[in-house]
Amino acid sequence: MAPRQWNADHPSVVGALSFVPGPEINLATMQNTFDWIWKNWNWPHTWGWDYPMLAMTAARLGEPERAIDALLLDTPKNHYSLNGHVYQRPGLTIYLPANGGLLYATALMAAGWDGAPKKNAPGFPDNGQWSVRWENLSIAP
Amino acid sequence: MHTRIPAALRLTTLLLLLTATARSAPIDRHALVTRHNVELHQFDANNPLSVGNGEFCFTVDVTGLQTFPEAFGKTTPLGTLSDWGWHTIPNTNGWDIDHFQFKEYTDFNGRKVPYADVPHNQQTPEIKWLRANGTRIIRRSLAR
Repeated sequence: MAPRQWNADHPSVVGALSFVPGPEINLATMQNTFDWIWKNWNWPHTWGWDYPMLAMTAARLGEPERAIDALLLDTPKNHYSLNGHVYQRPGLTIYLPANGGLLYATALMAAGWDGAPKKNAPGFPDNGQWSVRWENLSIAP
Repeated sequence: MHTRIPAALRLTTLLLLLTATARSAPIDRHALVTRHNVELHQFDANNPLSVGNGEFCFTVDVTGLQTFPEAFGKTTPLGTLSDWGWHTIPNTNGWDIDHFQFKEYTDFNGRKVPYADVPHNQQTPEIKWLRANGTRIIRRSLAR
């Protein structure tokens, strides 16, 4: 197991595939990275947009069920208050990047991304439980 | 203690917006949005509601106005913010971002990208001024 000090704050390494897709990403390595984070991350020490970033990673890795699971992860930093805001800490009681991330991840899962499977809503599970309708969204890079 | 609604509940609501019937007709946005109107039935200092249009934002308590700002002093202050109301502290020292030393990140697709990095997290008066100017005016409601 990797040193524990690398398992807190943003799980930024998955962003190389999901948020700003870079060249030459090795998908097998990214899958291992994603699996390690999923199992070992220190979730109380995260931020609200980490969950959308993980969801986009899962979607691009072809795991739409886990994309949904990432958006729904039950952790202290992934709770939406009654007014729609996400609490981070005292002095940062509303953390808007969480909301922006949720919107962007949902849009990517619905409209797709360059190289996505050619079907409607490629980031959502294709298990008969989802019927996704969207309009006026751009395909993500 | 912060009020928490399970993420699953909130997100299910959001994702239901995407649930479809006929695929060809345009989405009825008014009906979609009003299905999820926020309703507050009691005073809740942890949940002020922000309304706006992307260029203007106004945060209210349960009265629909900023009637009890003092109750929000330790949670989320009731405030007003706009894209058109800006403020700059007078620059009597001639500070300028062009005098600032940019760090160059190299080899992003063959080009160099300058970034206004602050070496060693310095907090000189110039850096503090550059960081804070100009800025939107935040109109905070204060206790009367």
